[in-house]
Amino acid sequence: MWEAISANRSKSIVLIVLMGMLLALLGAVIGGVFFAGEDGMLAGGAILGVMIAGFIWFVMTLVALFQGRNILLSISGAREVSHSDAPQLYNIVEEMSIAAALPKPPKVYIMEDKAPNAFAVGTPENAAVAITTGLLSVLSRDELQGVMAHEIGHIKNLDTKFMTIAGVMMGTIVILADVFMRGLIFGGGGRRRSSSSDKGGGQLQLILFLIALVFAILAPLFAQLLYLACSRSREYLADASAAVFTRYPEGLASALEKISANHSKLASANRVTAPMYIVNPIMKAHAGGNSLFSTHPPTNERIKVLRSMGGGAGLKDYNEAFTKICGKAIIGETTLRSAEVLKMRGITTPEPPQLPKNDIKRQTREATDILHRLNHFAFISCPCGVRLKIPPQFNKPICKCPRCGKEHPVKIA
Amino acid sequence: MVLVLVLVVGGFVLFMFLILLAWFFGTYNVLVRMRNRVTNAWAQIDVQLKRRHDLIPNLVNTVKGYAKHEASTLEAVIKARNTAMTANGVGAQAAAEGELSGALSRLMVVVEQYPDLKANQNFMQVQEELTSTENRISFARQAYNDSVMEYNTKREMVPSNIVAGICKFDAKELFELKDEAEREAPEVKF
Amino acid sequence: MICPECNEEMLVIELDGVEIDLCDTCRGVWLDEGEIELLAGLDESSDEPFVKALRDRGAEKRTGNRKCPVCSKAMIIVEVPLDPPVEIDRCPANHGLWFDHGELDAVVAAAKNTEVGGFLNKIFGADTQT
Repeated sequence: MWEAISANRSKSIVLIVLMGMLLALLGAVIGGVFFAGEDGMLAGGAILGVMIAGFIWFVMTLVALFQGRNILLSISGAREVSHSDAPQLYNIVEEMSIAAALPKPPKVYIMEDKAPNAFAVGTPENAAVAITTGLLSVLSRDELQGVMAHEIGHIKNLDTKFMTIAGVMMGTIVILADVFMRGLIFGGGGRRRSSSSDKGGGQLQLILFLIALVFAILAPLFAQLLYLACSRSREYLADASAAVFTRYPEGLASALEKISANHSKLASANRVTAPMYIVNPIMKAHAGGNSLFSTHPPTNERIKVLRSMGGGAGLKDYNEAFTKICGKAIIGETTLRSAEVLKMRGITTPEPPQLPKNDIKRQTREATDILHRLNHFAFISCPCGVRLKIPPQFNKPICKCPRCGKEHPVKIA
Repeated sequence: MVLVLVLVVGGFVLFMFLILLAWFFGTYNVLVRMRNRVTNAWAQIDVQLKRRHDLIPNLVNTVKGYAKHEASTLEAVIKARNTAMTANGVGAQAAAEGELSGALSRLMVVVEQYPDLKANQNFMQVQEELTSTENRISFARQAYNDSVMEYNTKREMVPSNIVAGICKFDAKELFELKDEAEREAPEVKF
Repeated sequence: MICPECNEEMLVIELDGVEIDLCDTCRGVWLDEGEIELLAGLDESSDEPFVKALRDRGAEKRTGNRKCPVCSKAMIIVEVPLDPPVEIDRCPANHGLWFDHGELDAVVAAAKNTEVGGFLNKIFGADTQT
């Protein structure tokens, strides 16, 4: 099944080359406008522009590869958890990285947010997965496994690495276009006047100037289209990988169902980070959500495909189910030739029953207790059934249980 | 004239030879990479089995306090663990680990009768670790089998089988459990 | 969570899987939206007076001077139709409800039959005489 990655990879390279060309062209056009000397040395200006664009991109890529994981995680307000903070979550992530044969299990992060969502970043050697408390508190163990398998699928298929590089390119294009527009407003006019002494050159420059303007407006849009178009098929592929890793597509299917039933928006997501989440954090799936600009395929369709795998859990089964639902294949022929037919794990319940209220309470508490532990709260269990959770700022030696009045000594750190 | 012809043909043959050589090395490297994956996946199974051995003393101690009448079940678990830890050879080890899985699931059935134990914080932690370890073992087996299957396919397929044959890439065996019931499970249910 | 009354970090009290935040200084209680959902659900058609109070359908009186501990917006004072009626603070963005010590006692005494009141009574029932 590893071959699935290679098909993905060649697609990624084409895309990155395309985006790189777009970036170079934008640099050339802008350079031609701004740096062409009075003698009309257009080529020189254009080359300088490409070099500057290339330099900006190079620096940003370096930063993204070495610091990208941390930057993205800090934008989304995620906090790292250890095995003792969140044993189950941590275990599940390790289980799935064993199933995916990752060289190193990803780090585990948690985001304090009621909106249910999760994402992954990084390269297989140096990755991280993050999940919101909202998602953690509604999922059963099997469902959580499905979600984590999907995220690890993204890491294994090198989607997260690609997203980092493509995201940075898109960012560079947007920044260049933005700088150019600002330059136009503040400095461009003056520069143009000074060179208009040479009539022919001035005219040529004006034309170039208009081209650059159109280009600067269109390039970011085009780049975003490229970026998005490929993030959608990657979602399906990550779903397929999740089925292969867990041998239990229903886990992810019912998790997706729970996620789509909730309508809160994620506070910390934006346009660049959106493609990394398990479901689109910004737009909520609506009927015609499969437009050019959507980062994710409709969740309903993803659930339907996962549930039509008919007892199989391999890439072939996924591809057949996908063809049945969407009318075309998702996984390439060469990949499928080497994919074996896999049987589903021996769990017989096709649809897990709705969680009883007590389980929801228990899972909510497990999720919030992880946060309390991260915030260094002290836990005291009172014999009357109350659990006291004491913040580290609490500065009294004794804490009285509000229910039975028992006084508990508090260790002050 | 003849010289030119010889040069052209010779050049062509040399060119083809170089391409063949490049393909040969490329395929060789792919096979090596796949074989390493198989080795790593096998090592992972061992790591997880050891993890299970390490967990058992903690589990037994936790259960002991609540279920005093289940001494024989607990002893069976400890005995199975010790046998598994000292077992030599793949066959003996597989048998011993199977024995341990059986002893553990019997213990978990027994635990059902002790609600106090099931609510115990410490026990719940050990239980999660045990569930996860059993999962890890089966996922490691699964990853091992996936990598073996992929390696063997590559080994047998035309034209990479030529390289595999010349450089003696041996077939690897799948990790199969004798009994279907054993495969399902060390499904720990509480 | 910071107490909207005295700006101190509040204790977290869990009973039967539901949490409240309690200020150890002023004995005020913050009940988060998510916890009310666990207790009574957030159904639009719910009869639970506290769900109504949270969901904009209580009688809104005026803007109070305490701030929501979640979003720091000035809370609105709403009247919960109990016998006798009790005024409590509600976050304008529905993040939760705030009961100061006096309001808490009144709710514990008058709203035993509601999900939220019953729960508060279970924790603070013995404490109301003081």
